[in-house]
Amino acid sequence: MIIEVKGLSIHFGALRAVRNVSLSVEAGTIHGIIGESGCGKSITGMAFLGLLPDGARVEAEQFEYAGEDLREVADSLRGHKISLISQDPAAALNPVLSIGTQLDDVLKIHSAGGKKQRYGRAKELLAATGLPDPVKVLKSYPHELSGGMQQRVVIAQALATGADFLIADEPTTALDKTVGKQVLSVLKSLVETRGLTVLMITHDMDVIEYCCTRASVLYAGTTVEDGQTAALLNNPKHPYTRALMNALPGSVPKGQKLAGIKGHPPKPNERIAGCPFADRCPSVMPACADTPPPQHELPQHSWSCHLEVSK
Amino acid sequence: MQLLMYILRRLFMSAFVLLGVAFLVFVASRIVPSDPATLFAGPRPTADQIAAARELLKLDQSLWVQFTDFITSMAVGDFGISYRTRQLIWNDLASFLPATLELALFATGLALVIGIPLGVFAADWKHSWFDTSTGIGSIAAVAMPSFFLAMLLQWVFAQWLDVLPLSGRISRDISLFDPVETITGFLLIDSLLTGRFDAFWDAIKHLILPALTLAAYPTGIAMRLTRSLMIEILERKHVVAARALGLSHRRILFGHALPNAVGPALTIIGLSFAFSLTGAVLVEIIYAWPGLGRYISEAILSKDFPVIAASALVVTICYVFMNLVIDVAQAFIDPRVTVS
Ligand code: SF4
Repeated sequence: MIIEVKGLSIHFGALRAVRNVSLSVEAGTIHGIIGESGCGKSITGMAFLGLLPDGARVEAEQFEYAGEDLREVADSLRGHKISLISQDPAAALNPVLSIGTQLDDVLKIHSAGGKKQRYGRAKELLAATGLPDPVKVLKSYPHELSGGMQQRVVIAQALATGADFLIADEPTTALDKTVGKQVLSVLKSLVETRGLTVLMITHDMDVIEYCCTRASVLYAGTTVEDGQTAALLNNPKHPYTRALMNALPGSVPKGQKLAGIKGHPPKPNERIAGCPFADRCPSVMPACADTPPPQHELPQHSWSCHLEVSK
Repeated sequence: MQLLMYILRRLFMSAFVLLGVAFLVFVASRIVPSDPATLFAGPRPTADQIAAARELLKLDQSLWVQFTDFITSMAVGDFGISYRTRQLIWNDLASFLPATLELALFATGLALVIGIPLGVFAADWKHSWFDTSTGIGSIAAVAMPSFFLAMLLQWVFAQWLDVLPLSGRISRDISLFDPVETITGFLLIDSLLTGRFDAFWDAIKHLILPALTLAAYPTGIAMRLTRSLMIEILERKHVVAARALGLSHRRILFGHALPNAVGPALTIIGLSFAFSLTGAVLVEIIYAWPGLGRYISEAILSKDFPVIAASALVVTICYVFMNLVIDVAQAFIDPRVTVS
């Protein structure tokens, strides 16, 4: 396991942005984190990079990259071992610098060799993300590229760092469906050919199904279910995961309510005594309100709920 | 290619601006309630003298003829003669304009190289002692009347420390006994062209105090603007992304964030350049600077209309040109500008 997280919580004063997240990621795989917006998945991603806003307090039983405590080493691993593919490629690229400059800036830090070698490497990286004309792309500015091309450039930048663990924060949300799929398949093949590990943050079950080996379902800053993609999709155990599935086809659009479920997730400033989903759960029972739900374990599959394990 | 088209487009628009200003100047000269012929004829003129002046100035012709005449003579730089000094206006401008331009450009340059870096550091060290003190400094620089600042600077650097000259553009020793040959009218350039390094150094020393006085306002503005732009830019996603890619803080600050802030800062500085072309009257008087501001204010007081018209046009040309330069610089910094 390259990533081991147990009982991660991130507080901003009285606000609990992340309450209790646990996940473990096997090297060379894509691990999904799925949930509605505001469930703490992006903040969790930023914690791996040590890029939390000022005033964040990170606590965890375990929060490790390759056996090292990320609370201590995130700053030094950032941009070397761990890097980011951001959500909105148009915003993630500097509008006033050419792609060549931006890519070279990254290569300058991470690769030996002169300008010529770096230029060659830049072309190589762009080609690796499936861009057909790297020379032209290097000369372009972000606004001259399509969204799909921009996202490939962002991926190439992340590759240029030499990082082996990438946080992909909703990499396809800003793109249309087909282009998004292409970008995902690029990522998938890079994971296979280069042995990368990716944490895929998304609100889209399709994305999980398409490229993730495993996934964690987050609700109100808490991991409620975690397992192999097939197990999650075919045999969802937690009522929230089931609700997410019912929201298919596709996704939970930003700010929209889950299909068939009233109410909204608890706010970060609310205290939760029992199950975070209790207010909305169709199978709620008395114990749910005040007793934290027990953890159920199957091979490669776990969830926390008061419901008995269905046979 | 796109850039070239953009520059051509801007040039074309600039020509229209100039034509419009020429028209306004002409109209204004016809509606002021004073008779140019009487002014031209000198004090206590006879009726004959006025009639002669009227004919000489072509005031008896139709307005249309007068206007086309005005435009064509302006276009070839024939600004006529001053009612007041009886000199060719062209000659006056040739000596006053470079002096003012030299001062204004130097001051604008100071505002750029002082204001922008201070703004960057203030944003980077937000709420530190540095931010607070530069904040207070910039407010003082903007709010302090220029005559007061001028006196303060003169007192400290000319009287007390005695390291810089009190006023003037060049020392009398040089201007009287060993003058620099005039090529461009810009003393700094002419002295370098003729290898007169003594004069160059002397001119720089004369330039520092008036330029500082003139630069105070745009420096303060540029600093505050750069600071607030940088604070906003440093929170943008591409800056976060650059951090996640392992870029150094310095590279992010100057290589990634600053280029995004320079465009708007340049615009403000361009505006302040226009202001210092004609608004520097007070500064020019205090420092006995032989510039355009003084020339124009004297012309206005004596209703010397040909001088006012010529100066207005020349200042407009300088301003339009400066704007063009800034627009092109912005297009170089931010390629999105050329797409419109
Ligand atoms: S613990 Fe109770 S409220 Fe929570 S998901 Fe299970 S049944 Fe629903």
